[in-house]
Amino acid sequence: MVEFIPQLIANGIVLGSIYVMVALGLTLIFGIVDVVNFAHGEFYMLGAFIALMCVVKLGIPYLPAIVATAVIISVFGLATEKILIRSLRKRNPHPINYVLVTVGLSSFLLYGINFVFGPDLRQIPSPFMKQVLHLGNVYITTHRILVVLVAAILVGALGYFIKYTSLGNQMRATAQNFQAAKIVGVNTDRIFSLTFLIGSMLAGIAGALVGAMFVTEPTMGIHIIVKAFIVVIVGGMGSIKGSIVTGLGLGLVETLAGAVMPAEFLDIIGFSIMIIVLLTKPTGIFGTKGNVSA
Amino acid sequence: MHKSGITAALFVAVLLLPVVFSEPFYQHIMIAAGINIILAVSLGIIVGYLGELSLSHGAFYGIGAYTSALLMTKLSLPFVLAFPLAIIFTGLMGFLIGIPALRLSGHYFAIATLGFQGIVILLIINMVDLTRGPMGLSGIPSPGAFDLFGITISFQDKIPFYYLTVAVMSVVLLLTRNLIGYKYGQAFIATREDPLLAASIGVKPRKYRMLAFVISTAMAGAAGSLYSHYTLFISPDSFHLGESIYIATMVIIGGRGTILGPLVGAILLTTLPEALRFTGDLQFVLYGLMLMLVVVFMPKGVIGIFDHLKQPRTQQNNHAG
Repeated sequence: MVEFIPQLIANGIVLGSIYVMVALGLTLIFGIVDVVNFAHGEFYMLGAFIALMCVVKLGIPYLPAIVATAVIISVFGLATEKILIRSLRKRNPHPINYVLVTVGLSSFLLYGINFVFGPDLRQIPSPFMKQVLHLGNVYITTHRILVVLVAAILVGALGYFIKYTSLGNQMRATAQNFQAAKIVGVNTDRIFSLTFLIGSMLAGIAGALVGAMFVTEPTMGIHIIVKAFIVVIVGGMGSIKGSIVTGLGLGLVETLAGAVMPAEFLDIIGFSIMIIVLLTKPTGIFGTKGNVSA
Repeated sequence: MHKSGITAALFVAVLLLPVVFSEPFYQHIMIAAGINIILAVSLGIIVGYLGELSLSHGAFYGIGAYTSALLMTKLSLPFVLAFPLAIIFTGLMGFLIGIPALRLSGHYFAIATLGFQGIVILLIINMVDLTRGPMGLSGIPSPGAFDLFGITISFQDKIPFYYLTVAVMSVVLLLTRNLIGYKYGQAFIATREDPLLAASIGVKPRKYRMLAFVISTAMAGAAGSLYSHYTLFISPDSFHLGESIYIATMVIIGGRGTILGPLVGAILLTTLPEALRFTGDLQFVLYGLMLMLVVVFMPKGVIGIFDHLKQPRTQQNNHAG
């Protein structure tokens, strides 16, 4: 048993990196735009399908296909904010209305993709899946290393962007105090669009990576959004640090505990922890309401 | 008087429906619509009067269905006992879940109920000894037959089951009207609009929120019991998150904040796919689209259109009065 632990930790970090990428987008959108995006998982799912089409139909190599996916899904995210979220903000900005429209979007995308592609399980062909590295006791494909690497680069870039660029400062200002940010001349509409763009892009890239490692199928977004909610609530809505720590933590706990108990019980435990955190400390472990902290 | 006349006429029409449309296919849709009306009207209490979106109504529907089916199959209780016990048990679950959930509001309430929905389905799937897990429960008996003036009425036939559904639906509609129509309704609206102000004039928000939540979930339990003894087979597939979203879509598309809205929404979403001859999941693409459009552009839902048409007349009445 003990000799498997390094292998389990490696797998846990890979799984955790995926959770971090997805949860980061969700937490940014919540912290800055004040919208809980129930369609976030569908952007992840769309990312996998776009990458699949790029590789299989257009014959683009895997890595450039991920870049193409990032660009396309960014446009989707931007359009969602500009068309859907903004119309609602101008007309009827009640929290449950945002839940309803994003639930509607989720249903539309999920069943739309299901109608076009069918429920079959597919896999994006990645050249890195075949290369297995042997490090001590740990067997790991190059693809899994790529997942962790991409997640690390994206998290680093996002942290830098938010802390050291003008737009990043405007994003933080908007999160802290929307009205005050507006008064000092921040174009908050533009910041909201940018946030949706970044959040969706992170989810789409994660989908393109997972779609090659596991399977690409229409309901993959539902599975991930539930995990992302757990990560974001426990880590603190709006907290970047919280998403990173809790995302990696959940990945590790799931993989380690998964070796000794069925996965379904883990999900029940995950939900229960989420509900307990909601009740006792709704801002999560690292969160301060309405604050995006790097 | 005028209004109750219309209601009476509608009720007679509802009773005559299965006689006019005698094909089993139509009668099946009528029964499905009746069950959906119970679900939508009961969720409408939470959405319209508490101002919260519950994403676990499908789970309560499932709890009612499984409780009722298990009471009849495992303990061989008759339907007349299993049905009320299923309602009570579902209401009790609603109470237990309501204790934590009702302390939250807005998107936090929606996320917490999403969590409960997930937990319930995972429990149904994993308590294989009791629920047979993903395989589902089969061999559920239909409500026992009885003699009426020497004629045996069997609920395996569609027409008697339709009348049973209509009876339960009528009770649900009356109860909902009484719940939100008078003192309670004002209290609900007061709590929804301004919990602090409501509390300051003596309305106890927590008490009213809990009352509404328990009654709403118990009604979903009634719908679940009817469903299980109508289809005679249930599986977790019928009660997952998608079902909760589907019920919420009926409420929103019909129009929240009224009883008529969810009722119209349930009828629309039950009959529309048949009328348009949708195949499979394509209807959910359309519902997703409708949900987005209605929330943004028609917050009062379909019945909001009639509201709009009626407005000038009410103003005239006001002048006259």
